[in-house]
Amino acid sequence: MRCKYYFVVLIVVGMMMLSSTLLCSFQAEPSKMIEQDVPDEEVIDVGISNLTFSKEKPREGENVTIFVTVMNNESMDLGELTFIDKVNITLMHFEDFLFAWENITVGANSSKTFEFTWQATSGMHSFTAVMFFEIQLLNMSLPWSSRSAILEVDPEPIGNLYFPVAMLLVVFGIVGAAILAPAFFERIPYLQQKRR
Amino acid sequence: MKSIRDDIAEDLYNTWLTISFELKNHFRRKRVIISFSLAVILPLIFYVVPKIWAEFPDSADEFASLSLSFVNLLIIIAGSLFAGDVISGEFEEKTGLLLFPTPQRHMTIFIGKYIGALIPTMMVVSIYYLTTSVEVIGIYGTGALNHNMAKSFLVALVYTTSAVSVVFFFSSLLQRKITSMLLGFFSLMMILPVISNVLQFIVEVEPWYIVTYSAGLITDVFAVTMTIGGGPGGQFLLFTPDFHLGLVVMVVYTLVFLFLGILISIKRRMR
Repeated sequence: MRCKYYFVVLIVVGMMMLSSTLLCSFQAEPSKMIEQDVPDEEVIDVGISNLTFSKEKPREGENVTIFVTVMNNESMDLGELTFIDKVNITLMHFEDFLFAWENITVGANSSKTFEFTWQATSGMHSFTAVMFFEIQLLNMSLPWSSRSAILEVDPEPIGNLYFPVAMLLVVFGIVGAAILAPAFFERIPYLQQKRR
Repeated sequence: MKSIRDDIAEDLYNTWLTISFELKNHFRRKRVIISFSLAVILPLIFYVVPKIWAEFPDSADEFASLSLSFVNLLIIIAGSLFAGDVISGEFEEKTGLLLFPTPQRHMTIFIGKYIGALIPTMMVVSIYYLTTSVEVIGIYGTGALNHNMAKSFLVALVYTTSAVSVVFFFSSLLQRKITSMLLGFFSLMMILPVISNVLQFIVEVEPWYIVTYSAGLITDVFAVTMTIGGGPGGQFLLFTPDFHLGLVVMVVYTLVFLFLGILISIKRRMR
């Protein structure tokens, strides 16, 4: 039993290392990573081909749609691949970690784009879409294909032009009034009496 | 008895006389030339150094934000130079013995002195912004100049009124010119920023009521994203002053310190 457990951990660690190395080397062609993750070394041309955003530089508070395109160049539907029990896609965000999760099915020899909506907050954000496959026999989920993209969100514009102008007018108005005020106060009978 | 209209006209004329006298004084002492030179040299450093050894920032807003981060310093220097001895000088050099017994109202004397210190300080700020704007046009083209620059300029002018008021207050409170200038300078340069930082980083409370904290709005209006520590998502958030509240704080400082200064000056007696 313990032996089996170590074996599973070894496979998981090995596959994670492999997938991360491949992610770095083949960022332009992520679909090719799949062949490394298939247990029987069969080449399967399925993976995340694109991760894009509806706006290149959105403003804080705007809704941004994240498009994740999954392509399936195999002759069978993604959900029916024999050695996989279930396929799902997870969109990870650096701050939220698990941002969205969705079960996917992609038809044979086709690609499908999945959409996720996110309300932008200012700063730099990293999004990673990861495809997992679940092996029911081992009761575990393994990463298969992934793609990352960085999105810079501009902060909301601060302030306006009118308020500082109004504030300057308030200052000059009060200072101006202070110059004129003594001429008025001197004519108030109560103050005149008090001065005498 | 004179009519109210004559009284007002006389007060305005007297104020104008004080302002022009103060301005002539500043020009005579070459303070204006020194601060105007600083207003040109400081922003030029931000142009010349990257031109020779590095690259300019990606956007005009980033460049302006970087260059204008030192306008606070110039406002404090210019404010201390022009307002630091404006009242204390009269007491230290005993020139007040000639000035205060005149029929001119004391209110017009002190407000004239305040405006006389405010005008050259605002001119220094304007030159700094003009130089920075020329640099932005030179690097990024005319299209790069946007309303953020105007917004920042207006905020800087409001801050100038409060900085000059604070220095004016110390000038009316203290007897010696050098002490009032130094206290005004260090309160804006060190004391208030230290209190603000302690409140922010140790007590973890927003110091919205400290004017030097609100002065951060001068560069905050550019809304330039600042990432510290590197890496995506690695944004380090500090307190940032609220635009409207920050400006109101500046105006409150301006009026409170100005009128407190005037009140103290009127009550003071020459010895």
